[in-house]
Amino acid sequence: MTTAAHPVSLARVFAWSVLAMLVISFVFGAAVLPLRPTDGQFRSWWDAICRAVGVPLDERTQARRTSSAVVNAFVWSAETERRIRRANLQNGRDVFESCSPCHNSQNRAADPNVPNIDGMSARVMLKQLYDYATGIRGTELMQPIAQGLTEQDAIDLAAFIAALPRQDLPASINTTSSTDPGNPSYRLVYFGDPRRGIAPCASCHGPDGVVPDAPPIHGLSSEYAQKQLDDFAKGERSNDLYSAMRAISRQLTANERSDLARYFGEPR
Amino acid sequence: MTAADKRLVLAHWWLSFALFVCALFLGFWQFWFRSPIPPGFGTPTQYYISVTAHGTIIAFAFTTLFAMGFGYAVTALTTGAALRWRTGAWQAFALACIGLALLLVAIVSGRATVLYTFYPPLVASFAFYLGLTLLVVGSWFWVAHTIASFYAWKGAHRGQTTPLGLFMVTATAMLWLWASIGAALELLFQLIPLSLGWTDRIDVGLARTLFSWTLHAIVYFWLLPAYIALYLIVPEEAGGRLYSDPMGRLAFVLFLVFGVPVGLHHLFMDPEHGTAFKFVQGVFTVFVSLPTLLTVFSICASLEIAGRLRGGRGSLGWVTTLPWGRPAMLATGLAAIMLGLGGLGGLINMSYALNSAVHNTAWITAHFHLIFAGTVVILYFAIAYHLWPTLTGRSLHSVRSVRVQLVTWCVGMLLLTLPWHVTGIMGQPRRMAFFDYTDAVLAPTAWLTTLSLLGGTLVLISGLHFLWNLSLARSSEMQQVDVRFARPAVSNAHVPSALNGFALWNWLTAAAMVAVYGWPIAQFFIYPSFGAAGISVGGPP
Repeated sequence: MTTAAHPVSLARVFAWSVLAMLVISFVFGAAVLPLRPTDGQFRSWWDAICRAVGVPLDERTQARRTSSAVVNAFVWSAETERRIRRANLQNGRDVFESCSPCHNSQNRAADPNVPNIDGMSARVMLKQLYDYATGIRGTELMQPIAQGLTEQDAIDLAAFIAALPRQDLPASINTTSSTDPGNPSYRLVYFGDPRRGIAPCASCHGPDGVVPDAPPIHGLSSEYAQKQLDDFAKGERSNDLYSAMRAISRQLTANERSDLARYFGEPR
Repeated sequence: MTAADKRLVLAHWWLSFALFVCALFLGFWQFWFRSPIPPGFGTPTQYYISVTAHGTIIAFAFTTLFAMGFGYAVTALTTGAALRWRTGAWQAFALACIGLALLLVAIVSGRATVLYTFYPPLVASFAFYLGLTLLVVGSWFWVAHTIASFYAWKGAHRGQTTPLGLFMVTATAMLWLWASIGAALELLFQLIPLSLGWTDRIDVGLARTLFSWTLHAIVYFWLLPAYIALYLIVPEEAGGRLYSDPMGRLAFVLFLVFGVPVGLHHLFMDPEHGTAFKFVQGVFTVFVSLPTLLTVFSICASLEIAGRLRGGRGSLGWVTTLPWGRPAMLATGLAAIMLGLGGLGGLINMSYALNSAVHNTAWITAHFHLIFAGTVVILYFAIAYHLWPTLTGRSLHSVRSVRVQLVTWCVGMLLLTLPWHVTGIMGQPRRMAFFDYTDAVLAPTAWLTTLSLLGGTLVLISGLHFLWNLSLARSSEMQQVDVRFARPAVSNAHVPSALNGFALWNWLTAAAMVAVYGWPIAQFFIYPSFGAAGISVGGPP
């Protein structure tokens, strides 16, 4: 066998067609397909192309697109993340002094309507403070307190609370074994109910312990947990992302809500 | 082939096959554990340790060691000379062994339960990542050895066409080099610094993008040794000639060009990339079928030549005159069945819209088991059986036993994967340690999973049977006979100079990679993005 130069190299023709295919498919994917009729959220050809190649739309367009129906306005930006990492824990501790009279998990006589916030992730904490301050989540008590915090105080406080160890409530109302697979509440927490479209609680809130983007549910007082589930079901609390908690709580029966609330309060 | 070269190949293969059988036991136990008739021992934590070990062994160790051994063998056999840098090859093998030991210890100790695809922000112990890096670096020596052998041969035989086998092995080595860069970048710049505590956050979008670069091309790295067998071994065993030498070369360089810039199709459901890049890579994915279709055509044509030489007449009469009882022929026929079914599934995965229906379901796991463990591994068996007498100087004790082993593997694989596909369509998610089959939603999948378990049992038995067949090979008088590879039907065919080297194809791959991965990777450095805090696995509770 010999290797010889060929007047028109088929291999080179082939190579050029690969490059041509690359260009054609890119034009098609970036500038033709995005123009197909959609839900009409794009105002212009340029927006559609930007989105197709993954370039964020400019601030003006963003504002125009999201100006209606803002329920959760709190934004976890890279800047917020950086500020949480650099938070002043000493200042957070000082600010917490004014929270601890109510939110004190060590105080066994604490008001059961006040949640145990020890160890709650800083992201979740910040969002709650923001929602209280802006009235998206309403209690008469928390709104003025949240409004009284500077942004830096809120960040320091959230970082300090996240660093607190989370502890179970004392065993007082333990009625069923919390790890018994036959317990309906256990099933809801770890398996959900696919037939009703109920995702397992643990898939967002973590099987136990603390996860970054959802509040911890174990170690809540039953009274507090039940009020939240009922409020979500009735739509009286509406600061849950993507309406997830409202959708789930509405699917639960009143008995299931109270059983779950008791379950969350049990030590494990 | 010199005795020293044979020892090198055998060392790679024995380790590879031993790991393979260990992984088979793990895979079998995993299926048993999540079936409706669980074994009664093991915990979900151990399940995920087992999944990590199974995946890491098969994806990174078994395949790489097998390809390295096969590559050394083909290089030595097709150049007709002793390997040039054998000491270096043994050192690379030792490095890979050290890496393997490190990563297996890390996995077994429970500190590396991140599955073989790493899944940041999960963080495994440093030993796991270091072990993997050493294994890959060991394989890079083989890549360098193969490429150097190729160009040394070319330099010594100016103006001549390189041997087809050497060309194909070099294409495989280059593909592995291209493929491994993505995961190597992820390991070196993201995961290792995170596991050592030098950084506390990881950009998961970037990590997934880099891994996708490796994730699809690695599949072709596993596939190409099987394709080399189709071109070099099967026509020879059928008693015919290879239909076309240049067409074989074209198929291999096409894998180089289309095999790497397609990884984003593993991220169709990921939000961090624009649709345009997903579309372009989707188009490239469609074109990856081109070299496979060329191969199917080439092999059918080669078999037709053999069939007609053996007296076959008529448009299909040549099929029946082929020696289907020979191991490589039988393996090819069985592989074709599995490749046909698996290929149809692949068409669904690569379709942008249909992909969303099967995303993260058991369908995907079933698909890659059928294509890889079915089609590819059965051809690995054929390669091992074909080269065994040359490597060991012993002939196989019973061809009948080999046939039984190959058929059991195919039947077991079909029984394992076909019901598994169906449970995926029924919505069974992948990466689950157990299912509650008493639940009304899951109950209909119980009998299908049980059927798969039966298939898995056959697969395990067949894997052990393979090892048994190799161990029982008998001493024979034919020690000096080197294996013969198929010769092309037209021995002086014109081979374009572009198909006698790789420069053009590597430039083309580089251009395509810049075009389709440039912006998707650059955007992570241009726009501020979130880092996720690393989550160490297996630490103190």
